[in-house]
Amino acid sequence: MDLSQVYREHYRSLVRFLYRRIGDQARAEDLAQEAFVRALEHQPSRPRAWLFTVAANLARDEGRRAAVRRRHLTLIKAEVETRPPEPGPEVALERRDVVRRVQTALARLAERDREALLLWEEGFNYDEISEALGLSRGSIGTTLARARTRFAAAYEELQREGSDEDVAR
Amino acid sequence: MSHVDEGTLHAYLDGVLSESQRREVEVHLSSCIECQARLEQATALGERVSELMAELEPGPIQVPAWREIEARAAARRARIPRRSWVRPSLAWAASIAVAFAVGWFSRDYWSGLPGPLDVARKAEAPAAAGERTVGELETPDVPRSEEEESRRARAESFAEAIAEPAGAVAEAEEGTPDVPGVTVQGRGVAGEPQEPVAERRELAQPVAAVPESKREDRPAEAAVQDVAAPPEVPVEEPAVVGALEARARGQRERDQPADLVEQLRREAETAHAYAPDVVSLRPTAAAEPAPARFFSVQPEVASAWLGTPLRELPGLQLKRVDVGPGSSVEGGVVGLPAVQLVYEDAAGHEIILIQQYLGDRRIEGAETEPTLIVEPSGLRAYRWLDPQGYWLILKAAVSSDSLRALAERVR
Repeated sequence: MDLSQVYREHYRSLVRFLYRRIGDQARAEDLAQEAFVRALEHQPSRPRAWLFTVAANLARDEGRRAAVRRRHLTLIKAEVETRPPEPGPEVALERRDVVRRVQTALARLAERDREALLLWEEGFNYDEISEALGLSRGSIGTTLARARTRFAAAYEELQREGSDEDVAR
Repeated sequence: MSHVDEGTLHAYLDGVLSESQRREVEVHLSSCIECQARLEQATALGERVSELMAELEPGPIQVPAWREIEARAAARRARIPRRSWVRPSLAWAASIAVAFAVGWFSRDYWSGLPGPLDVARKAEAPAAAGERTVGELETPDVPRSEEEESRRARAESFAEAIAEPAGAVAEAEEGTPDVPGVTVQGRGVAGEPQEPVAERRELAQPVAAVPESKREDRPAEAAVQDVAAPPEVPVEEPAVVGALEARARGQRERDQPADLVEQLRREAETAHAYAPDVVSLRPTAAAEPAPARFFSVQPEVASAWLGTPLRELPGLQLKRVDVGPGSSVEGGVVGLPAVQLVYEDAAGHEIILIQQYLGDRRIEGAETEPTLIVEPSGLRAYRWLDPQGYWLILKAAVSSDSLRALAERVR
C-alpha cells in the first residue's frame, strides 16, 4: 500500500490518538511524523496497524520519561497561566476543566486498557486492536468493557471532586 | 445459557460478534431481565465514553507535506554510513593534507597578526575587553569585514582567556614551542579567517596540542580534528563523528580545571559544523553564564545593536539581554551582530534565545522550520531561519517537546 496515501488518510487520526494519549498536540504531531518516518524505513505490509503500534510505543516511551515530562508540564503551565484570557472565560474555563478531567481519567487507566479504548475510538476493530496490542481477540471485549467502565467512573469521581472544591470555595 | 459476560455484552454492542454468537446473545437477552438491564447500562456507558472522548479533540492539525516526511527519512538513512570503517582513513588523509597546505600557505598572512604576547599585554591594559562599554563595541553601523571582525573577536577571546587563568599568561609569555598551540577555529565556512600564530605551531606539530597524558586515549580521527578542519575540507561524515566524539570528551573534561589551550581547543571543535544537522552549540550553555564575548545591555540597546526589533518569547520572565559578535553564534553569520535573550521559566530553567538578523542574507542549508539539534551532551536546541530573516537558536536544559513548544511561541 502506498504510504503517502496512508499518510493522507490516517495522519490526523494518528495525531488524535497520540494527543489523547499524551495530552500535548505539538508532541503528538512530532511523534506521528516520527512513526511515518519509521514506516518509510520499514515498509510494513499492514501500515495502519503498524503505525498505531509504533505510535503507542512512542507514547509509552514518552510516559517513561516522567521526570522530564514533569518539568515540561511545569513549563507549559507557566506559559498557559500567563496567556491572556480568551473570550467567554467562563465557558472556556468550564471546557478546559472537562478536558483536563477527561485527560486525567484516561491517565488513570491501565496502559493496555487505555490503548484499546483509544484504538477503538480511532475506528480499529477487535482484530486490529488485538494485533496492535498483542492481545487475544477474545479478550478485547472484556478489555474494552473494563476500560469504559473505569474511564467513566474516574471521570465522575473527578467531577465530584471538582464540585466539592467549588463548594468549598 | 448463563448470563452474558461483560466482554461479550460490549462486543455485541460493538457489533463484532459472529452471526451465531449474536443470535445466541439475543436469545438470552430476550428472556433475561437482568441482562437486559446490563445491556442498557452498557449502552449508556458506551455513549457516555464517546461523548467524553469527543471532548478530547486536538486543535486544527496541520498536515506537513509528505515530501517532508520522506526528507526526514532520507536524512536519517544518509546518516547511517557515518560509522563506515573505510571512510575515516580517507578523512584523515584529506584533513592532514589540507591542514598542512593551509598552514604552509598562510605563513605570510599570520605573520602580521598579534601573537600571544601582544594579546596578553592587551589583556592587561586598563581597558580590558571584558570592561568595555557598549558604545565601544562594534556596531552594525560600522561595517567591518568578516575577516576583521573575526580576527578581532578571536584576539579578544584569546586575550580574555589568557587574562583569566593565572598560569596561562605565564605560559603565553614564555612563548616557547612547548606552549601548546591554539587549535583550529575554522568552521569550514568560506571566508573564515585563518588561525593565529599559535595555531600554526599546532599545524606544524599536530599531535602536540593534545596533552601527552590524553593522547593515547584519543582515537586518531579525533586527534586529526584537533588539527585540521580547515575551511576547504569537504564534508566527510566520519570526520564529523570523530569531532563529535572529541566534543563529548571535551564535555567530560569541562569540569576539570582547564588551561588556556584546553579552553580554546574546546571552542575550536567546530568541525562538526560540516554536518548539516548538527550545529555547534556550547554543550553546557544552558547552565553557563553568557559566553565570554557577550555583554549585558538594556533591550533597547540590543534592538539597536541588532538593527531591528528583537524576536522574543512572550510569557517567560526575561532575566538578561546580551549582545555580542556574530562569530559567537553557531551556524550563524560571522560579521553580523548577535543578541541573546536569557529567560527563566517558572521551574527555574534558563532558556536562551539567540538571534541574528540576516535581512536578505541566507545561510546555505538553513532550516526554515525549527529543527532539533541534540548535542553529544544531551542538551537540546532548536535552530531555524524564520520568514522575517532571523537566524534563531533556542536552547535550554528542558525536554525537546518543551523546547519545541517554546520555539512555536517565539514572536
